Amino acid sequence: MQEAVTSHSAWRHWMWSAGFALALAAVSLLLAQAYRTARHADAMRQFLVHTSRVLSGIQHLETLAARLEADQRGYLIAGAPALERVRDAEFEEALRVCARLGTLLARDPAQSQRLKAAEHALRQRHARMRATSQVSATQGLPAARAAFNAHAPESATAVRNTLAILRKAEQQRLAGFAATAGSSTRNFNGVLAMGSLLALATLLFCCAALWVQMRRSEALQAALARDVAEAQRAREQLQQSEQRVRQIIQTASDAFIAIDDEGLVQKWNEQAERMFGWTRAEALGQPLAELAIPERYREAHRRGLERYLAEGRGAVINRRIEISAVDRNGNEFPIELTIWPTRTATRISFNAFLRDITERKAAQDAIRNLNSELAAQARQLSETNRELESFSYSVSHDLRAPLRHMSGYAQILREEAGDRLDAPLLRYVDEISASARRMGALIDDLLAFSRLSRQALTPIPIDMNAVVAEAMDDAGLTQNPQAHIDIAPLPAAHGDPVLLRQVWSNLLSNAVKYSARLGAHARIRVEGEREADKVRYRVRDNGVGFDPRYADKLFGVFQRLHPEDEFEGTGVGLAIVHRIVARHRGQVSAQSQPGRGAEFVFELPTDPAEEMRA
Amino acid sequence: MNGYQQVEILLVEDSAPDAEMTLRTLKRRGIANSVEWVRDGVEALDWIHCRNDYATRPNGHPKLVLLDLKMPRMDGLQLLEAMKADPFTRSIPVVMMTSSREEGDLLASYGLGVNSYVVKPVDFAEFAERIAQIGMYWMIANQTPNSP
Repeated sequence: MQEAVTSHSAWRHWMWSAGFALALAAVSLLLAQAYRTARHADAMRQFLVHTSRVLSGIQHLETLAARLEADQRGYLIAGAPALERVRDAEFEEALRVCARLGTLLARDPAQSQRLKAAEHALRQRHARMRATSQVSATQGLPAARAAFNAHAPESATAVRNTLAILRKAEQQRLAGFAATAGSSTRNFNGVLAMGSLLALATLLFCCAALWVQMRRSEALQAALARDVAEAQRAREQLQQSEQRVRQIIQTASDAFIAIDDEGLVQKWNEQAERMFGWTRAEALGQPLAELAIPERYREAHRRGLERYLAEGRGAVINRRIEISAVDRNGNEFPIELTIWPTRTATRISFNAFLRDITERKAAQDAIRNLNSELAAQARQLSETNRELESFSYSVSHDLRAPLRHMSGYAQILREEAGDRLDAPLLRYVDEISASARRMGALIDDLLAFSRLSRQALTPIPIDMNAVVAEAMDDAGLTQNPQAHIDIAPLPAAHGDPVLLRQVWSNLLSNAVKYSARLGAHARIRVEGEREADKVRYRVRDNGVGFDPRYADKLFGVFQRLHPEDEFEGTGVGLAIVHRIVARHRGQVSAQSQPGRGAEFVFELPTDPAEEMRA
Repeated sequence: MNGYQQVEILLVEDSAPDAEMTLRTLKRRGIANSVEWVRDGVEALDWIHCRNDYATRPNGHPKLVLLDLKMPRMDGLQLLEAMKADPFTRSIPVVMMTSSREEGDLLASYGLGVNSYVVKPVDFAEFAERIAQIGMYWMIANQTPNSP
């Protein structure tokens, strides 16, 4: 709205000025013209009066001249001296009229001349007439008549003519004047019309301007009303939000305290009351130092305040600080606080949110303790691991050497003294070798088993068919012509391929081993299925099976359910299978009937991410 | 020189039984006619460089060094390192023969440039077979440069 007002004002001023000037011009023009016309009309009126006086004077003169003639004739006829007297009186009258006319025509030299001529002619006529009177007196009337008629015409004509000329001249003037009066009237009408038009135009312009102005002022008013309403709304909103903020601070779960530049409390919310035990009434206006700050910090507080006021910066401003506070009863407790300054034009005050962190600190300490315990335990575990590591290492190296020697010397003995020993003695030698071999196998298996627990398990999506194929290679079964090993397409799983290969290798070797007696009739079937949350794999054989009453021993270390001389083995294979599957968070189980083969089943949980993709 | 037989294999082994079995096998299979047996790395180096106790031995490199890992004083890895670092001895083939199958030992040995790493089987028959294989290969198939 502001803009609308200012942007048009220059143009508008120009328009207004032009309008006014125009109006003024029109009115002035009209006034001037009216005045002129009035003056002119006046002049005309005066002239007409004058001219009519003149004309009436001239007419009187002419009438008098005619009367004179009539009187003369009358006298000449009657010879009465009364008529002479009348005639002379009329002549005097005529002279008087001439004198009056003379005054009237004083300013018109031409007319004055003519008047003089007329007067002269009149005098001459009268003189003639007087002359005839004399004649009459002397010679009698008929002689007077004859004398008068002899010279009468010229002087009578002269009188008539001069008067006529005078009259005509005056009438001409009148006519001329009438002409100019007409044109002047036409002028005036024209100017009047133009002036009226101008005035009308100006009036229209003013109306239009006024109308526009009114519209604008309406719009401005509307805008103003809107602005006022908005301002009102804004004020209300501000009030509401101030109200809200006040409420928030009041009920905040943190204590809110404000102090002025002297350290006196200005604001103290409910939580502050609870935290420190001083009510708001008690706290306002008091130095904060005495209400809440432990003695040993009061000096620092005061100095910090001074420094901020002097230099405009402070070490504790706008940072989270942990410090001790003290309540009404003198109990100290740890708090976390943030201080920030606010300035108004005249004052500065410091606001702070405070939080009692006693619990948090306790929790932190507890966590720290737990952590150091954990760290100690972890250290211990890794120590144990290291010991195990070197133990395995020793085992793998140092235990094997004597075994090798045992086996070696037994063999050498056989080679050297073979022909000197009979069968039973030779068998003893062979037993020594066999035992050494067996112990080596045990050591290997034990080492493998122990390494399993320490090995990292890296689960990835795996193609189980590929893993089984590799396991078959490992177990040396790929080219086994004896047993029929039938592997169905297997569902994919999520796990460590290296470890799972070992599982398959062990399960398949077992299946082959325990059905080897059947020769070509041995049947081993491998299949798998996927379920909602797991994948299951089965290895089934039709070998000797095992007694299900001892199934719980199946997966124990060094546990066997068959005698060594029937089926060789260390009893670690299934323990390894169990350990690996357990590390995958899966399950392994076995079912069997003696003489009817066995079925080993292991399940692996599916990866949730994979489930979503699938 | 007359009567001189170049030592073909240097056996570095601290265990007498292992040494005995190895020597026996080599002999019976006729793989190597001349085998020198020393008991640890220090002796091995002395022998190779013809110094101290072996100052009087005839010069010449063996065709093969059979080396055990675990030995007193200087063990197999240290000896291996010394031999491969010295240009004088770098070209002598070294075969590690040890009971340890540990990945760490394998990595360390190959890291130091061992020519071959063999695990001694517990079973003697296998052990003998392996010795024979090694001997056959390194003595006959493998070529070494003439000693400097």
